[in-house]
Amino acid sequence: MTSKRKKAISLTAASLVVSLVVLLTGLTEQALPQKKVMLAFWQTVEHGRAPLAIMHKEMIEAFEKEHPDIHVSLVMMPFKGFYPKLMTVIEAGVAPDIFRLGAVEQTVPFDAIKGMLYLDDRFEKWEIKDDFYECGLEACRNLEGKLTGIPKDLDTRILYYRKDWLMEAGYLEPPKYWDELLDVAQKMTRDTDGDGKIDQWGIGIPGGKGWDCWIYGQQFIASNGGFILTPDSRRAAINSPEAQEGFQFAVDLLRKYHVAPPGTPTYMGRDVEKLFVHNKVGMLIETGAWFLGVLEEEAPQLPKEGRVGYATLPQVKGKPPVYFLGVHSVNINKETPCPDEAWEFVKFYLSDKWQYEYAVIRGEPARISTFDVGIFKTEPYRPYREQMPYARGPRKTVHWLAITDILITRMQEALSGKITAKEACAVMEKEINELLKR
Amino acid sequence: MRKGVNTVFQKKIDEIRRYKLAYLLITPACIIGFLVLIFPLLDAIYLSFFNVRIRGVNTFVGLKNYIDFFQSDWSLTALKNTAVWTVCSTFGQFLLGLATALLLNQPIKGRGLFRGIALIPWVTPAVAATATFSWILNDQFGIVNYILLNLGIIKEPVLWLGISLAMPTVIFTNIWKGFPFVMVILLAGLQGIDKAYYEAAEVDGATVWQKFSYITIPQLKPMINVAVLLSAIWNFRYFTLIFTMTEGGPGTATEVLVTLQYKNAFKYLTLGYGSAIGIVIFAFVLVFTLLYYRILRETIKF
Repeated sequence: MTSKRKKAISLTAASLVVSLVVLLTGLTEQALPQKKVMLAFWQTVEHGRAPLAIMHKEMIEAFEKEHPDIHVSLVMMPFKGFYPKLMTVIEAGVAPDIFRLGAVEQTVPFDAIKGMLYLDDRFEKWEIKDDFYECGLEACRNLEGKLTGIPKDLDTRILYYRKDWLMEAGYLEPPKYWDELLDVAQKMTRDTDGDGKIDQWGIGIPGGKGWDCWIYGQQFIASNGGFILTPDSRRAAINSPEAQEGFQFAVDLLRKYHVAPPGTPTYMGRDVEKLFVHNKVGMLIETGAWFLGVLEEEAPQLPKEGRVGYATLPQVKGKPPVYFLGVHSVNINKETPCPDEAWEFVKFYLSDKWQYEYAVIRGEPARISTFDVGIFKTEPYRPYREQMPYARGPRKTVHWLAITDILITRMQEALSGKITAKEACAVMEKEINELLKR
Repeated sequence: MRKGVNTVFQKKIDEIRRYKLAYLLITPACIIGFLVLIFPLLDAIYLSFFNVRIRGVNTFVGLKNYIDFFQSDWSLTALKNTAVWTVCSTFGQFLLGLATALLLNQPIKGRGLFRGIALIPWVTPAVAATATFSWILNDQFGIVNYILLNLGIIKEPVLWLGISLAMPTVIFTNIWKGFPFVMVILLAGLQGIDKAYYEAAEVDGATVWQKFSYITIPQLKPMINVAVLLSAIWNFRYFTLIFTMTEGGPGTATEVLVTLQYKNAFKYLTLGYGSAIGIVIFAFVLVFTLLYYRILRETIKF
C-alpha cells in the first residue's frame, strides 16, 4: 500500500472516532439536565392509553415542580413483552429506577432475581400506611413477607348486566348465586328476530388465549373454595373436588347450557365487551372498572338510559364469598442509586390527588379513602367496594405465568369440547406438578 | 509432509498479506456475524444443559431439558403441529406462487401493475395482516361469515379461529402472506427459459400440459428447489404470524415449536428449557437442509 493511501485511511479512521466521541458527549450533555437526580420510570400502556399517558405526564410535571432537583423520565410501552424486557434490563444491571408490576403474578419471580428494593421500613414511616387495602399489600409481599412494592390499583371483576333484559327475564334484582346466574342467563339467551337462530346470549365469556380467560376460570374455582396450588405452593390442587366443581361450572355455562356465544373460545376480553356494547350478550362476569370508560365511549346511551346495572359477582350458596384479585404495584429497583428520591416519587404518585386521577382511568384504587371521593362514591363502583374485604389473590409461586398458560390452554380445550372439564383438571394437575418439579 | 504443510501455511499468509485491505474491510462484518449468529448459538447450546436461574446459580442438568421436551405431550403436539404447518404452508405457497408466476409471465396488458399488486401480501407487515384477518374472520362481526351467511352458503357463523379450524386458517393466512416470495423466484426462472424450446415443442404439436411438464418444470427445477428449501426453512421457524393471530391456541391447536420456545424462554423464564427447544429447532432445520441439499445436489446451482 502506498504511503498516501495509508495516510488517507488513518485520517478517515481518526475522524470517525473523534466524531463519534463528540456526538456521544453532545447527546449525553443534552439529555441530562445539569446537577439533577435522574429517575427512570417504566409504565405499561393499558386500558385508557391516551388518558393514562396524559395523567402520568401531568403527574411528573407536578412532581418535578415540587422537587426541582429531580427529573423523572417516563417510558410507556405496550403490555405485551413488557416483563421480558424488564427482566432483561434487570439482569443487565440497567433497569429503570421505578417500574410497574402485576403484583399477584410477578412479585415472586422478580423477587427471585433480586430486582426490587424492600420497602417495609419506609412504608412503616408513611403517614397513610393504614389507608391501603391489606389484600393489595399482601399481593406485594414476597414469600418471606417482605414488602416489595406499593399497590397502586386493584382489580376485581364485577357483574355488568342489562337491567332491561333482567326485567324481561323476570328478575328485579341481579343474580346473587350461581343457580340464579344460570337461570337469568338461560332466560336472556334467545332468538330475537324469529329466524330460528339464537342471536342473543346471557353471558359473555372471554375464552380466548389471554389473561381474562385465566381470571374467568380462577374466579369460579376460588368462589367454590378451590385453589390452583396447595398452601405450600409445592403441588397442584386443581384436581380437588372444589376446584373441579368450579371449573366444571365455568365450562358448563357454554358447553352444557349454551348461554354464551359459540365463538367463546376465541374471544378475548375486548371482544366480549364489544358483544355487550352491541347487544349480543346480557351479562359480563369478567370485566373490570375500565369498562365504564368503554361504555361511555362506545355506548353512552346504555348507562345514560339506566339500562346497565352493576353487582357483585354471583357466589356459591352456603360458602363464604371470594373474589379473585389482581394488583398492580409500583416498585423500586433494588440497585437504584437514588432510593430516597425514588421513594419520594412513589409517595407522590400515590398521594390523594394522583391516586384518584390514576384510579379513575385504571379502575379501582388501592387506597381505601379514595373510594370516598368523586366518582368512586357512585353506583358503578359500589360492588367493587363491597367485594374488597373478600378479595384474594392466588397462592404465590415463581411459576405463575406458566401455570396461567396451562389453565388458559386447558380451559380453551374444555370450552371447545375437545376434552371434558374433569379431564382438563387431571391434565392440569399433571402438567403443574411437572412444572413445579423443574 | 511437514515441509508441505509449512508451504500451504506460508501461501495462506502471503495471500492474507496481499489482500490485507480486503480482509480488514470484511473483519467488522465477520465480528458482527459472530456476535449475532455464532455466539448466541453456542451460548444456547451451553444453556440447554442447565437449569438456568437469572441472577442465580445455574444447575447442570445434562440432557434433562431434552428428555423433558420429548416426554412432554405439549411439546410433541407442538412438533406435530410444526410439521403440518411447514408442509402445508410450503406446499400452498409453492402452488400459488407457481400459478401466479405462470400467469404474470404472460404478455398481458398491465403486467407490471399486476406484478406489483401480487407483492402486496409480502410487503404487508405481519402484525397488520394478522390483525386484519382476525377481524375479517371474526364469527360475529367478520365480513367473511357475513357474506357466506347472506349467500346461504353457511347456515351458522363459522368459527374460523376455533379449535378445529384454527390451524387451516393460519396456514391459509401464511400462504397468502408468503406466496409472493416464491412467485418472484419462479418468475425470474421462467423468464430465463429459452423460448426456442417452446417453439420447437409447438412445431412438434405438444399440448399446453406437455409443454408445462416437459419444458417448464424441468427448466425451473433449480429455482423450484431453492424456493421450496428457503420457504420450508422460513415457515419452520416463522413466529410472528401464529403468535399474533392465535398465540398457539385455542388450546394447543396452533402451538408450534417457535411459539413454545418463546413462551418458555421469555415468558416463563425457563431459559435452559427454552434453549433446548431452540436447539431442537436448529437441529431439525440443519438436518432437513443437509438432506435436501444432498438429494438435490445436482440440480441446485448457486
